[in-house]
Amino acid sequence: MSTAESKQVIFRSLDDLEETPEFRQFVAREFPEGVENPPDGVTRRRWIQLMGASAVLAGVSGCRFENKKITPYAFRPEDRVPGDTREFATTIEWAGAVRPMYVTSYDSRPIKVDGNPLHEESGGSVPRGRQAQAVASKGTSDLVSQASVLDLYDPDRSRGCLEKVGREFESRTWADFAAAVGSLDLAASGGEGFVVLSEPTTSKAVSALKDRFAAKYPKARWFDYSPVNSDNEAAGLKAAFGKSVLPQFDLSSSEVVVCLDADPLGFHASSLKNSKGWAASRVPYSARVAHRPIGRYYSIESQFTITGMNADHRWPMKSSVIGSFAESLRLQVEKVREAGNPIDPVGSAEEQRVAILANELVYGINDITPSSSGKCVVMVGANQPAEVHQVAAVINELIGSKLVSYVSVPESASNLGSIGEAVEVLDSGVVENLLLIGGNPLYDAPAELGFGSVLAKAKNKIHFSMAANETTYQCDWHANMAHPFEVWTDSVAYDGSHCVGQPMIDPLFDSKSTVELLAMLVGESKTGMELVRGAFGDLAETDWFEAVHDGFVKGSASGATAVSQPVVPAGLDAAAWMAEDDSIEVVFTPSRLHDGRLANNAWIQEVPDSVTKVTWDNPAVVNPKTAKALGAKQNEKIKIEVDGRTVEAAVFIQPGQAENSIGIAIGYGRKKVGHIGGSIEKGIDPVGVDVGPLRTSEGWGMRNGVKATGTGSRYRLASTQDHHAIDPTGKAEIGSRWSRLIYEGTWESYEEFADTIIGGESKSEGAKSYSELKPDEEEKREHWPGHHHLHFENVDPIPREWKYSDEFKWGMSIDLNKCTGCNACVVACQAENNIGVVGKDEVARGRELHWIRIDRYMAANETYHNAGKILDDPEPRIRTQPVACHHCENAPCEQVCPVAATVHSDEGLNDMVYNRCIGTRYCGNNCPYKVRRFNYLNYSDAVTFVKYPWADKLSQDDISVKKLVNNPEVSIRSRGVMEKCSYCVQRIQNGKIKAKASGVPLGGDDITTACQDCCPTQAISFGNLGDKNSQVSKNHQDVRSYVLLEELNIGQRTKYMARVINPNMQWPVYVLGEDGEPTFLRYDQVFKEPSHHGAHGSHDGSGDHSEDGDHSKDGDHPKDGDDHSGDDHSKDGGEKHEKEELK
Amino acid sequence: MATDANTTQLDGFVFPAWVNKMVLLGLASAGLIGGYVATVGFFATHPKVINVGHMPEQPVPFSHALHAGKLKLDCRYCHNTVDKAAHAAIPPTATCGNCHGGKDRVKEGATLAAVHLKSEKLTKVRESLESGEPVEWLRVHELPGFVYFNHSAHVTRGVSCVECHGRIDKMEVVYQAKQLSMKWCLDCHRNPDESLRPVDQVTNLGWDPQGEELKKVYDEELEKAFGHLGRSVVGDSNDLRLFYYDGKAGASKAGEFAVNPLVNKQNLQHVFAEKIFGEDPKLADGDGSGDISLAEALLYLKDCRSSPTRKDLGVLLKNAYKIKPKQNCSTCHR
Repeated sequence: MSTAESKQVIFRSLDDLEETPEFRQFVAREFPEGVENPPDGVTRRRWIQLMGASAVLAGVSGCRFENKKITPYAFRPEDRVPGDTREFATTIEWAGAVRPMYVTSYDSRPIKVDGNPLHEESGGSVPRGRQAQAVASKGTSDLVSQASVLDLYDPDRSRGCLEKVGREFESRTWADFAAAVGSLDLAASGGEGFVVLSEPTTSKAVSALKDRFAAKYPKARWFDYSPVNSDNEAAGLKAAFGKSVLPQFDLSSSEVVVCLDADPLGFHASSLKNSKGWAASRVPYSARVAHRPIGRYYSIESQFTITGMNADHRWPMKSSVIGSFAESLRLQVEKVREAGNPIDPVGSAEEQRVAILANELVYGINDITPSSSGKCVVMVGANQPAEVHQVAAVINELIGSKLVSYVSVPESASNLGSIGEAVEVLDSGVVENLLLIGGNPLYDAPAELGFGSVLAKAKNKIHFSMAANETTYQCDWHANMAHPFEVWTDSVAYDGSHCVGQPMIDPLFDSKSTVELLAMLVGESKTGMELVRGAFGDLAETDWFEAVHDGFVKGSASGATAVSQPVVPAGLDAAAWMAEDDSIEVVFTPSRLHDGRLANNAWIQEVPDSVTKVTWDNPAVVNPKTAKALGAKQNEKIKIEVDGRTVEAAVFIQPGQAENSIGIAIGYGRKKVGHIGGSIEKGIDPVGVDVGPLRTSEGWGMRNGVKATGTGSRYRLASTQDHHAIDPTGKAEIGSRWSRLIYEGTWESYEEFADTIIGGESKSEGAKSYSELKPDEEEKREHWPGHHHLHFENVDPIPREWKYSDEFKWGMSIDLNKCTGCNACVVACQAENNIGVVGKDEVARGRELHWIRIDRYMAANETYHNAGKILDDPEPRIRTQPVACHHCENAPCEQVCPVAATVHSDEGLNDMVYNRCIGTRYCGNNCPYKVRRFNYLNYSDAVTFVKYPWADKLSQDDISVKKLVNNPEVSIRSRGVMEKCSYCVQRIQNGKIKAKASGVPLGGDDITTACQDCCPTQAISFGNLGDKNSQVSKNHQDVRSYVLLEELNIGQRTKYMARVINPNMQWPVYVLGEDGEPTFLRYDQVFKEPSHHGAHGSHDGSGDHSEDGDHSKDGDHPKDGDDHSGDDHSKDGGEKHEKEELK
Repeated sequence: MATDANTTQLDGFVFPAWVNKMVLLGLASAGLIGGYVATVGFFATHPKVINVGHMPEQPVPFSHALHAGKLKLDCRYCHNTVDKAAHAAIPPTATCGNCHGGKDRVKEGATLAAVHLKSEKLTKVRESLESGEPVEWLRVHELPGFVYFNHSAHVTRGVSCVECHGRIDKMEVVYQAKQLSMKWCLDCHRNPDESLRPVDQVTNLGWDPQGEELKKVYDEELEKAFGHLGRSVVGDSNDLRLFYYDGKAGASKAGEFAVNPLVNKQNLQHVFAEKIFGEDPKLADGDGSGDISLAEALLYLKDCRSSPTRKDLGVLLKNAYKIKPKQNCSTCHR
């Protein structure tokens, strides 16, 4: 165990805790039992028939000389090289959420999305590598941006316009549509009875067209509505400052950040910038050199968010009382300021915590003078009511926070107010013509408005959208909207900069952009580009080209605006949060599906949730205690009732969830979206449940006092949490080789350690060079936190006929201190490497194919564990660890492959030769990291007899559209083939070829992997270990660096860097007292931290193998190691170790 | 053996008569199976099965023999991405139009030539130029989907087009001349020496220097690789002298080694090893000692210079161009 965690018990899931047979099976077996059974719905006979038929067909198609066509350009554009990729800057906006992007296009076909490296809101990273041409630098991106390219090739997109004839839709052209709109005579009597309900947009081109629209149709009404909005924040800040402002956070120098239900690293409009800042504030080496502490993050929240997982202290609290808590925090901050010095925490744990938070917010970590640092801030989540945002603004003002600034934004009506008003107008029956631009209000409008019934009152209804959705089916016309990658768009990013979205491909189907549609309505004949360019004012030609090239107008970000003294809100009860409260609340958590528009995106659906690891579902997440109170077990449904409307959802029991709080994600349960997300017509069940009936304008983000009851009916959730579990306890024979998987230690211990290495007086000596933080001798390298008492396996290296290349030695380093578990890498890898989607049933069988998985461990206090009440720990913590192929030099998988389908390259890559693989799965069985994935079925084609959700629902035409997203640089794997992380070998090879052709040698950091490119915190570094100056070489040499399962001694090329946490030693922590009652102790009393020296030598105390430097490099492991090899002994040793560990 | 009829009948086992039939049947089926295996084997390994000779009829009867052979158009005039990218890229119709476009077609200021303006064979080209729709060519050379091949990596390293495509400049209709099988690729990757030529000759498909001509090429490449040292090694094993070139045209003289820091006695062997023998020093190891003396090195070089073979040239080029033909699986399979 590492230093600070010695009083914790780590577990993956409830099954793990209970050591259920299911979990044992996941640990012991590579894949769960029954994994090789044929899928449901196919009988054995049918299977054999089909197999026979396909064998015959294979023979027939094996005939030679199939003529394939090559169709070159008739006129090839200058500089265009067929088969080469190009990158274009563009922007996607989803109802006000703007994402600047760099899109990689292969032969004019967008295939991969990354962040725009020039834009602050997508990482704004500096170009990596010396060779700018060979490897273009990428910005960071999140998982939804990564997956957005899949939407472009969604076969469920409309192929053109549709008109309802009778009860069916018939296809129409845009000319038909124009004629139909013309015949409606919209402009009659100034647009009387004409209503537009649009999703909000920041586009200035649209806004200009809106003005012209208003001029042409003066009596028409226009409403903007999006279910995902920041109405509360806007209202709160307006109440505080008297004008419309948007907060801008800069976390890069943060010292103390208090998140009240806020998720700045996860679902936040500026999450990429926040993540980058968060990571920058927590680099221990930089902080050590600058003599400042790393950032300390507190999360007070009801749901486990990504920020909460990574917080130093997480305090579960019902969302509905967080407002009251914020008020109490404000009062305490005022008290501290009045007192003029920190107030000693006394009283109950809650009171002490408030006192500690207030002290730190005012004085920072280092107890300087009040407000002198200004490096503290309070952030509030979008679900919280306006007053809470207002209180936070007041607190930030009181503590003089410099981390938050405000920019002016145009005044806009609240989304929920708009939709209410629109419904009123519709309900009055005066609406002749209704145009819906985007959106899906039938699915996502507040439940109490009854949008469905009032929609029918409008006479002519037109829906402009990318695909037919729930709302479209109730309309008379469907006009086909283009994907943003197909048309010119513009938008304003979170920081206020004006972005351009350029098309990279002609519309695949007969579709138009919003500006083109509006231009048609106001009778303008300009092209989309002219209209968008018009929105940029009179930009000179070269400036316009630069803006298109960069993706935005440089320097157009809004400057901070001065704000007045914020007004303190009235009506918040500072005592309410301490009161006893048994009412149940339901919190509608933000979703990867955004407002549901991404429900047909299979990549997003299949990514395991960061916290629950559930795929293809939105379970009702509850605390174990609450689940017991509701009488619901894991995988059982509960019924939630609001105002007489009910929703049934499967329960997922999540320790650490606030008591009496049910969290459920929005955007699921779409009934008419397509072959992935659900389609009643095609007989495909919706994915997850629609929480729409529970959401009202009043309780939009959350609702307290709901009725929830267990139903007892079973429902299977496909969670990957136990899949591919690494077996740390092992069997008797590896008992003595125990090691931990995740290392972490406190900032104090890191500082102390750094001092022992550098020498005691370093604190006053200024910056030390990097190399001084590590000793020279490789064998005697010091590690932090101390963990080097490993008994190394005496491994004979695989004899090789070749030597390792001196030129390239590829390796990877993953900084666990930076990894937030956000899943962006999982999808980036999927997009880059043509990884198949398997569907819910297959995931439940453990057949998911993601090459990189994010292991998620929970840690609970040992006092609860010892009493057998581990689930009663109210505040367990979560740690994440991405695991992909380690490219071991003595790879266990290579040794068992009977056909040499997995072999080593001289650059250290563990190559996978798909065309040799015969599917024995021995390699997967022998992989200690369980990173190999097997194609049980032909997932990439998905036109088999197999019962995928979408199988046989797609035509050949649909499939050819789907295939356009594939990366031509990577082989598509078929059934019966193993696959795994290749370190993006196609990028390595292409980078080397380009470097050789250009004559510029390849720098150690020049080649990047897909996961590295997208990582919002840049936790992953990849490069050439042969180049001592590459980032990955430096990281491998860092004192925090360690190897997962190092004792196997198999020459892993991937290393991890231990995590540094920065807890407050005074923070009260709940423990289970002797009497079985929960009590609390100071953090440092619970996690007594041995000093570094002590920890290094003797922390596991079993003594039989604690000699330091027991490395493989010492060569022949001594025969005197028979004390390790005796069966009886190691059995004892193993058990002893397990017990040690559990203490 | 002296036999007693009765005993024999009692002790011995006599196959029943039907066995005779079975033997015949067995032999026949063995023959059939053998024949089947042989037939399958024959067809599976026949050059045609591995696509050699595949010669589809193209929509436009473009003659490589005429254009590349007779008219000596460089391959890269049409396949202009071959040294820059993975694909050699079938040219756009616009390239045909440069000559066959017609006088009245003026594109970006350049008047296009009008060769065979009325030829029926060029109808499709003219149609494509008019409509902007591509000509649908048929693929001749195709690798399996799981194989990655990069043209630029080969042609910029001195592997000629002819090594994989044969004498395209003699083909009226292009056909697949080589197997393009994995073994065939690996043969060259394992032993590339004889398939290498100076980079400026890769598109000269008929290039086959012999005798004096090869000697000249060897000397030229030696000079390119060594620069200053090119023509300087003379003498025989008894009288080894190294002439160096002091940088001025025509000025070479006998003398000490130490003029250029790159070439002195200490590192001369190193230079030889790096630039000439590469990783295969056995070539120069005359006495088989496993060690190469300076004398041996110079002797080897002298031999090469007096009567070089294509292999000698290949070894020189391989090291001069720093060619390390990769045999990692991931080079071709990703």
